[in-house]
Amino acid sequence: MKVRYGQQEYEFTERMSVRKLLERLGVLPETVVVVKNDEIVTEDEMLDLEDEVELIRVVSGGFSG
Amino acid sequence: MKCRKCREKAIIYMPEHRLALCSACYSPWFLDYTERTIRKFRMFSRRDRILVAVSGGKDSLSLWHALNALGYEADGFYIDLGIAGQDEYSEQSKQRCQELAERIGRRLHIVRVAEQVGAPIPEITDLTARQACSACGLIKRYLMNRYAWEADYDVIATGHNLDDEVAVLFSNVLNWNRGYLARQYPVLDERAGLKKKVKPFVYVTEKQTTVYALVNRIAYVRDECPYALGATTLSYKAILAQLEHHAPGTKRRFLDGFYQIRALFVEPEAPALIPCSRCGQPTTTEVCAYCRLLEHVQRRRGLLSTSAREVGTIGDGEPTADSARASTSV
Repeated sequence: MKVRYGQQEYEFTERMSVRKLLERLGVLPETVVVVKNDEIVTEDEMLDLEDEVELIRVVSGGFSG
Repeated sequence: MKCRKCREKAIIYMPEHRLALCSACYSPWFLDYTERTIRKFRMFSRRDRILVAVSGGKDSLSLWHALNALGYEADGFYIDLGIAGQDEYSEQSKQRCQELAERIGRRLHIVRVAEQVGAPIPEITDLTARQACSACGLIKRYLMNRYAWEADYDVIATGHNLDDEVAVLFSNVLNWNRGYLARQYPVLDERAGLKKKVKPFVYVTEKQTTVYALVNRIAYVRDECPYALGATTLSYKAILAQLEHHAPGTKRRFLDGFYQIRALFVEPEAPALIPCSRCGQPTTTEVCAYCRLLEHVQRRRGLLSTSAREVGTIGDGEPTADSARASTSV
C-alpha cells in the first residue's frame, strides 16, 4: 500500500491496521487524520495492499487563529 | 468501529469522550458541542455581529463555517501578512478565505499589513528586532480590534482550539508568566477600548476541527506558516499529545483546572489602559506598541524622517509609499 504523510511517501508490502501503521511510523493518532481511498477511517480499519492512504497532519504551530 | 448514534461505520473515535461517530453524525455533534461552549461562557447571542478572524487554516475557517451553520451573524476578517514562501502562503490563504466567503454568502474583510504598516511581515522582521510570530501577533491583535470598532462589530471570534490553549497554558506555567495567565480565558469582555474576544473552539481538538473541515469539504491551507516551523509551540504540543495519548482527557482537565484558579493570577493593581496618544487605541503606555513598531519600520525604510505619521482608519486605505491600493472588502 502507498502511504503519503506530508512530503514523505512510504510503500508497505503487508496488510495491517491503521493503528499498526501509525505505530510503525511513530505517529500518535491524535496528531493525524487518516484517509483511505478518500474516506476518513478510524484506527481499527484494515489497510490492504492496493489501498492509497494519506495521513493529514492536524497540528499547527501558530496561536494567531 | 461503529457510530454510537446510528451504528454506521465511524470516521472518528474520541477517547476523551469515549465516542465514535460516523460522517453523518459528526457535524451535528460538533456544532452542538460548539454551541454549548458558546452558551457556557456566554460568548455572544444571535443578536450580536461577530467578526471571525480567519487565516485560511482549518480552525478559523471551520469556526466561520460552524458559526454560520448555527445561525450566527458572522463575517470574516483576513489580514494579508504578505508572506510569500514556497507556495505563496498568504495568497493561498486569502483564496481559501474568499472561497468560503462566497460559499456561505458572508462578507470577508481584507486588510493588508503592507498597507497598514508600510511593509509585509517578512520585511518587518528584517527591519526590527522582533521575531516574526511576535510582530505578527501584535499587528493582528491591533488590526482586529481597530477594525471591529470601525466596522461596528460586537465581538471578535478566533479559532484557537483546545490544543492551542493547553500549549499556551503549558508555556505560561513553565515560565510563570503571571500576567499572561491572568488574561488566558475563552472570553475577554469589552473594556477600555478593547472589543470583546471569544474562543468558541476552546474545547475542541485540532483533530476535531480538521475532521469538521474535511467532512464539510472546507478547503483550507494545509501548509504551516513558514515562520511557525520549529516554533516552541510545536514541541509543547508534541509533549502534550503524548500525555493525552496515555491518559485521554488530560488536556481538558489541565485547562479546566486552571480556569478554576485563574483569579489567583489577576493582579489587583494592573496598569490601567489609556488611549494611545497617536492612534487612540488602548495601551498601557503613552504610545502603543503598534505605533512604535509602525514608526520604527517607516523610519528604517526611509519613509519617515522626524516624527511618526498619523494613523488613519483601516477602511480608507491609508496610503503609504509602499502601496496606493486600498484595503478591500469582498
